[in-house]
Amino acid sequence: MEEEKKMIEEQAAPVQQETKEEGFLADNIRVLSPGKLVARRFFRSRLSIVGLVVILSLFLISFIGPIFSRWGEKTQDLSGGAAIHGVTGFEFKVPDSDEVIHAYIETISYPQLNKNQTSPSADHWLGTDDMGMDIFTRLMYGGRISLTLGFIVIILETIIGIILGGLAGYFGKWVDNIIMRIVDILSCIPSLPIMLIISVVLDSNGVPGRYKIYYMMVMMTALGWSGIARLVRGQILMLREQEYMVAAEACGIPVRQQIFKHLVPNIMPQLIVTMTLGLGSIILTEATLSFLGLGVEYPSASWGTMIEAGANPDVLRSGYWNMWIPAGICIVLAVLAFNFIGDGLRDAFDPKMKR
Amino acid sequence: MSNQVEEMQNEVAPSVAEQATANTPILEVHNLKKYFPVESNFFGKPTRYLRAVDDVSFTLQRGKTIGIVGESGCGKTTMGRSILKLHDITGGQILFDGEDITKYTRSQMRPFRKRMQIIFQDPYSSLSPRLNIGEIIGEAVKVHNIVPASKHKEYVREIMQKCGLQSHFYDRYPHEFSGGQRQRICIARAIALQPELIICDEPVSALDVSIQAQIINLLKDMQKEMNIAYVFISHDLSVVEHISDEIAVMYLGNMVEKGPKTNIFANPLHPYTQALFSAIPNPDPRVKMHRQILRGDIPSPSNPPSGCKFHTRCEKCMEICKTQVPVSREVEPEHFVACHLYNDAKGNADE
Amino acid sequence: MAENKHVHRISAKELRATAKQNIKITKRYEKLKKRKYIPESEYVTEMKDSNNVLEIENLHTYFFTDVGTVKAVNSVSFNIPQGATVGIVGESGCGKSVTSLSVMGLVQGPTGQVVDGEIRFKSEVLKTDEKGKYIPVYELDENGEKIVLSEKINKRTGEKIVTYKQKQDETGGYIFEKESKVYNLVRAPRSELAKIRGREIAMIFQEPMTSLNPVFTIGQQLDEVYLLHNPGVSKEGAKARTYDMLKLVGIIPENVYTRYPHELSGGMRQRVVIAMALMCNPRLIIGDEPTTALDVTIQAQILELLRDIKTKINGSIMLITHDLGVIAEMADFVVVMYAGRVIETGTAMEIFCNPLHPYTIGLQKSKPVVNQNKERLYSIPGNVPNPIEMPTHCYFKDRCDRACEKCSGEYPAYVQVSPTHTVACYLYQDQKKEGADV
Repeated sequence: MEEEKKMIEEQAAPVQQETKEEGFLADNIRVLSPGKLVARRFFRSRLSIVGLVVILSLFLISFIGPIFSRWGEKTQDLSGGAAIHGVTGFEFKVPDSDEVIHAYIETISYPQLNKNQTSPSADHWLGTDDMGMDIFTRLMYGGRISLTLGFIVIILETIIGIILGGLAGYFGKWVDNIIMRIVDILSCIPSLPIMLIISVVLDSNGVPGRYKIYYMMVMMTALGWSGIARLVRGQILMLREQEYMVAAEACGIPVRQQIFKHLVPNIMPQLIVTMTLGLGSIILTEATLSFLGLGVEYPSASWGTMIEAGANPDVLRSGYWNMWIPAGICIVLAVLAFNFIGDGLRDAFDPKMKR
Repeated sequence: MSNQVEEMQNEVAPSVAEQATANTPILEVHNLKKYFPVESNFFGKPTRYLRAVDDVSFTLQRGKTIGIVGESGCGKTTMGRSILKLHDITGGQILFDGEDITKYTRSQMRPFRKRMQIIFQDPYSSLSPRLNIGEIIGEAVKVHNIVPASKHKEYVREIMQKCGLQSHFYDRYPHEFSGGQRQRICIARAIALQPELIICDEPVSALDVSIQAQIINLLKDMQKEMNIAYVFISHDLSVVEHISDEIAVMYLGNMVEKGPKTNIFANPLHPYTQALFSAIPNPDPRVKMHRQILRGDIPSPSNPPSGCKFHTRCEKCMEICKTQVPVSREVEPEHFVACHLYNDAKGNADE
Repeated sequence: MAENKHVHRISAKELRATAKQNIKITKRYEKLKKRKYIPESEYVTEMKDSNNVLEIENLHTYFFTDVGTVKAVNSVSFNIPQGATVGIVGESGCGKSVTSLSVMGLVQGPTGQVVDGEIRFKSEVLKTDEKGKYIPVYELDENGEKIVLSEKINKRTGEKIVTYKQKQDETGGYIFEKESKVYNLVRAPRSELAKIRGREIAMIFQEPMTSLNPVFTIGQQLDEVYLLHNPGVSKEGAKARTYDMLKLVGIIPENVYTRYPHELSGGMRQRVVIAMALMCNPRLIIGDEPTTALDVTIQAQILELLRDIKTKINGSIMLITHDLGVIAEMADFVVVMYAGRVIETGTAMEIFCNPLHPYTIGLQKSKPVVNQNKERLYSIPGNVPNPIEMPTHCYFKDRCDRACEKCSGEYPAYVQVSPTHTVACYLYQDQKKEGADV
């Protein structure tokens, strides 16, 4: 019925005969908008939904959780297991009499300040660490650091990557040569030793620990953009051969508009996938560096520094698994989730997967 | 509705029509050459070239169509793009409306861009998937200020209707359209700039037969209405024959034969043209033609045979063909052929 | 027409509903296919006419997509007689390729399923005994006795095991007893299909580059096909066969045997693909647009080659193309398809000299012909209808310039105009009342 109605309307419209038919038929074709198509394919995969849920909940817990927590990032609760309650008795002989006075003093002592670790309890859901700081709260603060840092670094990397890769790909010739040689050099540099050296240099120059994290971000960006630049360049070289780019050139569209309106939107899918997958590896790097004491310094929480507790043989022997396993699980969860999302997005964007 | 468009045309581009004197051909190509380096030495100096287009000349009048026929690798696509100056030219001269554009830079070319357009073969890769139809058609219109900004949307819709696209397709995306409709969008993008010349690079090869006919008719209508000249590149002889006034046959970068349509089809002179015509499958089982089937493959254009490039497959090959490159001769009025068989014919080498 | 851009888009709810339903349906079909043991009675049938190599009857192949069910092949029936070339012609999306894929059992599951219908193929299969072993044919001496190769005594049971000399063909392949069986390819298990595919039905694809493996030489690939389907053949035997086949398709074998596919030109590659298809003496060759990707002069060569070969091997060809010219030159019988249905069948003469269906007529009129000066081409208005919501009336009605009142009714039945010519159109319903199904 609806078709017929449409057709009648079409016939009424004063257009060419061919136009009428084209319009009539195309109107019946029920197609999805490009965004919906991607979303649809993304949500078809269970893994990507799992990844999305995990990441969202990590975010919520990290950024909203601390508000509801009784404990702060660095508040110490020393009422935990290590306190020694003692009673000391004194005998006083009253001078010039046989009377003896017995006095008792209750003592609470903390003989070893760094042995305040406790097992999970109602007060501390995941127990406390050796300084008596609530592990669950610190996990949330650590999540803040890891996730924010991940996003900042990947965005910086992408911006630099798009600009330099775009320049190399679009202009070619010597621009391409210079940029790509820099990329080659960067990918030859072993990043971990460099980071270690820089950390030592920072320390010896007396840079305060709380600034170290910013230096770390800069370093990770500086060493990490090359991958994205290479991807952008490759994509642009490929897209430049596409006929719509030739058409844009033939239409006399300015270079800047060609890049930002035609090229960049078309490399976005690839880029988003790489960014998502990159997020996972940045979180891992951050954890590694923090573990080695290069990133976030101890009293501040980060998943990496929290795992470091596991490197202490005393902790391992004493069975306080709650000090480091949860942080490890968080890292695994976050990285896995980002990878799931990345894979899901890649499948969703890839036109070959179209069914 | 079409009146409105004409009005707009008159408003914005009256000078173009006035400038054009009827006699200047819209396009003159003299000895066009385009070589691509295929091998180079250590210092990047090319040592061997692929001669994609080698010494091609023709003239095209306003509102006329020249059909360029040839098989894959004959350089017809490269020639089309060279004319638009989409890449550098190795040698020769291109006159557009009497003006020598051969040495023009990118920015010097910009004002010419709206006057010469291109339509591609593959309607799928020639539309950016992330722009909607309105943007695709209207983008260049904005850049070249074809119409005032206030009338922009209206103008794009007019053009769309002219090309047989419903105006409410304006904000749909290319993936929602079939091949034929996409080709209409490409045509709309080209004619929106009110060009005087359109290079049609195999515009119907990727389409179904019934859609092909629609697109050919649309191209013909547009030509009549806007007096556009076409360079129509195709491997399909029957399509070229239908749309062209003049036909040029290319083989491995050379133009082997050129002439008015009727002459070429009534009396093909070059052995390659004859074989090409004979190879078209005839949709009539009653006609069992005497087939003249070419033996062998098309040689690689990066390593073409010496002498006449066609001699390896030619049935009438003579000794001279293997060593000497034939020159183009006017065998009949306006009918040029480059073949040693016609060396005795009157007239000297042209151009 | 209101300018509501979202009118034509599907809601997420609808999508989810169709996706759920699709999974249900496709699972059922996949289960049916994946059964471990399928009794032979299910897929062995009889030919209607023993002259035919292939009979397709009432074939339905659907694709269950998220936006709806695409009826790519919707009740298609035609026969391929022994030694004949049947051309299937139609525009893109008319289901001609899906028909050929259905014959080969290569429809992409789980979305694509052959829902209904029969594809009967007369196959020469190796006979098996009760244990599922092939029965060898032994060479006989002058007295009609089997020639004894060796005698052994099984030490445990004391039984005598005699090995006789088995017959071999010229390439060294062992000969087994054969029997003629008719398979319904739709129901046949995958293992049986794999035996038929490549050996009895060979396919030539449009793009020769994609059907050759780029990392193996031409020789390796051709030999492999032969070795795979012929047990006992020596490498030398396979090579000899490869040489023969390459010669048959007009290639000098020495030049090509050790080359890789990318070193050959498009026309050469297509010749190699044809040689590959011929390796096992197929009874049916399916050519899916075999010349579309080639230049005109090369196309002429390949078409001549195909014609030549058909007479040499006495096989049948099913030629799928959109090019009417190719069909006219090659085919004995023509099947015209439109939107998943056969609309007209007949001999090449009948289809090209006396086309009846308005679509066939329009198709022929819209193709420009050399030396026929026309100012304007005839064009069939509009596009092929959306495959998802097919109307119940004739699919061509909306584009037809001869549509009448009757056409709005149900889909027209086939009208037998001559013994070989049938058409599905109301215009000819009155000509002959006995509108029999094909």
